[in-house]
Amino acid sequence: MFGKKLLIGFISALLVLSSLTFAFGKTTVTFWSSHSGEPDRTSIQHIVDEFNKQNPDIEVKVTIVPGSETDVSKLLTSIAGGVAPDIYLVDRFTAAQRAVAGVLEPLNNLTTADEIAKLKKAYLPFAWDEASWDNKVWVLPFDTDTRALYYRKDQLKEAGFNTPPKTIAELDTYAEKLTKKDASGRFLRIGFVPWLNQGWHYTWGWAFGGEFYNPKTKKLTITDPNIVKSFEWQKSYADKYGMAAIQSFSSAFGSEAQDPFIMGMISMKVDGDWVLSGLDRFAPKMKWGVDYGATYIPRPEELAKKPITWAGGWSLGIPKGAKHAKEALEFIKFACGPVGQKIYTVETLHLPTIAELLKDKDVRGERRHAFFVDLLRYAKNRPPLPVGALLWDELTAARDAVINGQKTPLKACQDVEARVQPELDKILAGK
Amino acid sequence: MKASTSRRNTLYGILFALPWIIGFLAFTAYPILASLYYSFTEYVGIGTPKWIGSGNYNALFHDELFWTSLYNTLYYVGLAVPIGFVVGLGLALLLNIDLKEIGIYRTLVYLPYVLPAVAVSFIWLWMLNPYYGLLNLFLGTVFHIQGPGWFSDPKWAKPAFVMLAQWGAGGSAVIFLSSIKDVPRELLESAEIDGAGWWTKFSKIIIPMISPVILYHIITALFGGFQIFTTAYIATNGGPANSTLFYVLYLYRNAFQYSKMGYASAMAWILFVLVLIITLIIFRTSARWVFYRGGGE
Repeated sequence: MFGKKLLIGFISALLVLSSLTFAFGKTTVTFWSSHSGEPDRTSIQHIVDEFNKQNPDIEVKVTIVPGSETDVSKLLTSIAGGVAPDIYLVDRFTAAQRAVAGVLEPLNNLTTADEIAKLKKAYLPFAWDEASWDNKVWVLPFDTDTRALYYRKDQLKEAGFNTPPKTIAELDTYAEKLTKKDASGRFLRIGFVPWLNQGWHYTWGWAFGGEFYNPKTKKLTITDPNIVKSFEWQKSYADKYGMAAIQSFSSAFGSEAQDPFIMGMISMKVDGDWVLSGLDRFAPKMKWGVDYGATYIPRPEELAKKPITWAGGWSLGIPKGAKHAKEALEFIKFACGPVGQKIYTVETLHLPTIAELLKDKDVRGERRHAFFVDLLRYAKNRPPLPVGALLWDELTAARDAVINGQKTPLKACQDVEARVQPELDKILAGK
Repeated sequence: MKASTSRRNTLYGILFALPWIIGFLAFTAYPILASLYYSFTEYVGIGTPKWIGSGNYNALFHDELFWTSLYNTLYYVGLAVPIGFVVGLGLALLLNIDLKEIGIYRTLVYLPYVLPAVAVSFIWLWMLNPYYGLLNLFLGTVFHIQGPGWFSDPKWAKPAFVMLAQWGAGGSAVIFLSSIKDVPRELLESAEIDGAGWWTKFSKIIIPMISPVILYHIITALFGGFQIFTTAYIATNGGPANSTLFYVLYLYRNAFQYSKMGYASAMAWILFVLVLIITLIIFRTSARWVFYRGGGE
């Protein structure tokens, strides 16, 4: 009898104690990130460690979850199930889409208008635009990136070119001259393939002078003659080199140390700033300025004097139903602020979205990285639309259909408009 | 007394089945019914669905990708199911041969079947690689044919998945084998005495005797075929040029990438009705070709 009472007393004491530690102890904040690759993953952990050190009452815990730029199924199901994380890493160009879908908590609900206005001033305008929708801000911008034409300086020299191509016409000539085949006609090396790596529809559409969206009329403008032209030009590579032959050659490409650019299987490619850290890691012998270099993305003759690129990047948001939204906001302000972004951009060679960091010596790094930092000045960004992910997928499908000869460039562009515009209209009408 | 015992037995029976019943109601029946409701709404997956009547269904019939994905899936099912049947049954016949080491072969044939689909997809990405892949190497050295780009060529990507599906043929082969083993020896022996060759024995005795298993195989293979997802998600993610955008893959994209859960639910119900109709047709015709031992006696 006495034993039983003691036991009950003991258990209730435990319960009281544990609730006390809960009240006075740390708040655990969960952070879901889909960045599973290195060096990004470790760098994010460094930011978290720094934050936890500075905030003894908050403990941020990172969990790596499956997901991609446009795939957030795990987040959706967790919100529906009432077990949403407190922080989620969102590809910034999809923030508006997630906002409309009700996935994110607007930051305006968590802090004052003054603070929002102050935050806004710190960021590059394009990044803030991407983070906003319907006069609210839904995420804070994290990193950004730019794209350029990488070229194998050694191979160009061998082919007799002392400078990289500046125009599309030059690019075509270089590519032809750099391409090598064996006796049986199989490729040993391809000079250039437009759609590999970061040679996206957006890359070439903008390079050819096209625009994808008209914010005044709120209409997609995929049938812009310049975008159609950019598709036609890509198709010319499929015709010239043979789509099947290119596909079979590119399926032999590996990654990391077997990357085709490192292996010398392609001489030129459009790719992002982050590639630099991969080159250092997997091809430490290849030297900037000797073996390879990067330059502006070639454009048609009449536009070649004006450099162009585009910037993307990620952001941190607070999902609907987050249990510790206040603490989560503290963390995302830190991670997306000067301290967090500096850690991340120095370690991963991505670029910051905090304007003042662009002048920081450590962030700019050596000359080759500074080149990408300075490119930001010429950077376009994808229209921050609530149909961003859909538009991306549709443009990719259109590009595939064109280079495989299933649709004419004009028809493919018309189809993208026909599929995405109604979705956009529906959302705009319901606003 | 007797009545109460039987009532108690019923109660126990229900109690023991309760975990399954609860699981079925909560995780199968409820979601299925909920998706029927969602299919008539505009719903992003969270929040409140908005009733739009048959809006999703109307939109689907005008959705080019819906038809593409349906065509891709029918193409795949139309090839993968019959070929899977022939390969599975063929393997079963081979594994039925009396050899001392047949146990080893049976294990070897069955082994691939237990591999997870994700791993299998990666293996096949390498096997079908146009440059380094075993298959094109074989085609090149033996037949002097330049093999296609398989997963990267819109014309060959679907056949590549049909091939990939045969990787799991060991599973059906084992089921066929066990049913072939079940065919009464005396039937085969008396047929032999009457002078029947192997083809007659196969077509007149074995096939009818195992026909219930064939029916089972075809139905489950159909279900599996219509739901092809994992391998396509890993190997091609619908590309190139939507040539492997299978039905469930497109459904998944709508639900989780484009936040169109209502639309995806409508797709799920169309698939359900389609598979239901095909299954009913097969069941109806099965009376003509499926032979149940002891059924007619």
